[in-house]
Amino acid sequence: MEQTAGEIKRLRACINDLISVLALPAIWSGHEPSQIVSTLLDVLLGMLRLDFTYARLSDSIGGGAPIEMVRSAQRRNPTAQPQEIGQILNPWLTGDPCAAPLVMPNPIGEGKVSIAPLRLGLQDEVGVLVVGSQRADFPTKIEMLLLRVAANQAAIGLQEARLLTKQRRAAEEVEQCVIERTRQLTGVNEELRKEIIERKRAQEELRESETRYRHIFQSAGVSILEEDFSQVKIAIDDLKARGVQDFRQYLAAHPEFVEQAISMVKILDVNEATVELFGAQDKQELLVSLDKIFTPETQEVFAGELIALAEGRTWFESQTSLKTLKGDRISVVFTITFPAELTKLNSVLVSIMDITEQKRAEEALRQAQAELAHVTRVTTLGEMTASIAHEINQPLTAVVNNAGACLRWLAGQAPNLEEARQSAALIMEDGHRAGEIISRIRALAKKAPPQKDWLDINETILEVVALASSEVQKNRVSLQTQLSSDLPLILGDRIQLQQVILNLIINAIEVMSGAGGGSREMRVCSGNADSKGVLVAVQDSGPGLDPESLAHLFTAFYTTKPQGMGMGLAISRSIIEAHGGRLWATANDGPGATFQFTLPRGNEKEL
Amino acid sequence: MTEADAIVFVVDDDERIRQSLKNLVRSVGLRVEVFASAQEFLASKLPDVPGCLVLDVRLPRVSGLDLQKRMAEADMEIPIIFITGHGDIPMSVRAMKAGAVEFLTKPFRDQDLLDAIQQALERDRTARAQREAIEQLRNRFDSLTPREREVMGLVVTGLLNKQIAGELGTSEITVKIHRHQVMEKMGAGSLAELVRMAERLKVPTPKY
Repeated sequence: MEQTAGEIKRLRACINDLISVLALPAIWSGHEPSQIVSTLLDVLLGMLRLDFTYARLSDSIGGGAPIEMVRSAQRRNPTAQPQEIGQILNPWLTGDPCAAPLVMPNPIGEGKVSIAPLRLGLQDEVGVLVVGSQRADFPTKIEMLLLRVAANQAAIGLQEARLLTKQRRAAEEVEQCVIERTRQLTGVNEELRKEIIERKRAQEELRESETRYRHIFQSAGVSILEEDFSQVKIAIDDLKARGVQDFRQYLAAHPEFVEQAISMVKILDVNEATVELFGAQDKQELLVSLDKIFTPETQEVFAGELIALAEGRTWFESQTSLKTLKGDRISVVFTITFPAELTKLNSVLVSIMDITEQKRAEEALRQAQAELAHVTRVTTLGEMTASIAHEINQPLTAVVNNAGACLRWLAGQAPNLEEARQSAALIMEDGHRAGEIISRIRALAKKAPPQKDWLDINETILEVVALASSEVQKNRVSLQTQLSSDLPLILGDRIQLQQVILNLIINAIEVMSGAGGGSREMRVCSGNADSKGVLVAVQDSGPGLDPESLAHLFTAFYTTKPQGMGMGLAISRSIIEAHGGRLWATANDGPGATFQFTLPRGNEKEL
Repeated sequence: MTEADAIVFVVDDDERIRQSLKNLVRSVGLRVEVFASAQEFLASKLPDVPGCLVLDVRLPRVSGLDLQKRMAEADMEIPIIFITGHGDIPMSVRAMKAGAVEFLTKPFRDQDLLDAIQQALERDRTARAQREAIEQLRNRFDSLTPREREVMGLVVTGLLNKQIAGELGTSEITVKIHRHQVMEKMGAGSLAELVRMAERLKVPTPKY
């Protein structure tokens, strides 16, 4: 009975312990593996009055590092190192933990201990648990039961804890990932935000630049056209594909391509200056074909533009003339800039600068120069006569003075005959002096060495005719030239011969305009002279020559003109004679006179 | 002064012109001196008698117009008759504006030149007489005492003796004596004459 009562008491204690063990998960639920192991070891040590408890958890449970833990009932040796004990227990820890001998020297104290190694988990994947007691009966069946249950509970708990840890870690990882990702995203967002701002700014700038460009385009003083050349480019590329290489040659041979190309160009936009330049009502009027403003001359320049485009040049400039919508021709310099990227040929800028005024000014300047040259030529003879007049005036004045004095010496009550005689002598000297001056001038004109050069007399005549043209027009004279084409070159002084011809022409004009009514016709002819020379004749329709005039015509100071000096023909004859020629005048069969001269064919030796 | 005292100067670079002019001027009984250049003329000592200058415009180095200018600068007040081979209008205008008597273009009528010479001599005589008269006046004026000059300046402005006395801070009787002295020394018969003299002498008159 007593045995039974003891048994009952033992069983009751066992059940209590079992309940305690089963309650363990409630204690350690949610705890870390190390806490679970620690609780397990403490509970088992106390409950089973053990000498020591030892557990080692596998890496996977410990979350990276293995966990070894030991609890000892002896306070004396609280510092027992779990690793050292693990070392001692090692034979029971590996392999089959249930293998004998299950009695071994007490690893933490004196004597021997019975040990009970238990697996945590189905194998030992969770870890191992070793408990030891000096009691000889250890472990009893009940104790083993409790130990197994406890080990199982712990294994489950540890598994859960491991899962939990894993989950937690996973959650942490996820969290970390989320944080990292969030951080990254924030960064990216910031970048994007900046980029958006930057892009907005760039767009703003672009818009501003576009506005500015538009503004410049519209308000520029120079005419600017925006043209679409893409069709032209396609046509050119097409030709290249067909093997055309030399566009200069090709375009010369195919003018129709130029015409086609002109019609392929679209005018997209024009500015105010263009509207004004071409006299359009508004820009719409110009946004059509280039044909409207092109002249035949422009086509040639456009061909140059095509060549530039075909040869990949990006810039082309040329002078040409265009026509306004009203039909006026304007001289322009136009500049075309092809974009470097050929794909952008749909917007090519062409600027046109009106140089009509400049051209006109240049033309006026040239005319003024021509007139100046003309005046210089015309005045040369005039100046010569003026200087002759001065020379002659001097002795003339002396003659008058001395004659006056002579008369006065003779006058009065007592004439001074001696003074009068001396005065008369002075007069004679002065007269001789005047004669000397005249012969000196004639000698000068005769002896002035001509600057001889090979001349085409027709060219010389035409130059003089051009010089005299304003005089001819002013006096409403009709001047015709009849120039023989097969004349030899002559050797002569260009300027001197021009002066002779000019003198004859001016004389003819004056003679005809002085005659009042009647026809004013002049002919300047060149031809072969009989003796291998040339003949130049100036024929007028003036009043002609009377026989008396004919005799004195070439005498110095003989003149039929009220303002004339009577030197022109005298000098002219001297010049012609110095050239080895002859100058003479004849009355025409009809009205007027003809002045003509011959010049011998040039001789190399004279040069 | 008799006609024979007058002298005609000729400057022309043409020897024959000089000779003919000399002959012509001499034939009417005038004295004549000829020079070949402006420099030669300027360098010579001119007699102090009425005279005139017959001057060629075109001269080497110093032209006739330049000589006219230099003479004006040197206060040589001799009337000038220009003669020229081919005078243009601007040239003659310039010469006449600068005081020339005549501008003749060669060949001129001999009588035209002689007439111009007579006119020029007459002008010089008048000018010389005027200069002489002013010179005399100047001498008389210089003989006045400073006080008398002061009184003269006030008298010719039309002030009464009493006012002049007030002005000078002296008695009326003293002014009267000074005034008498002034009239005497200047040889003025009346106040009007004295005023004309003061004008010609440019006597400074005080302003009120």
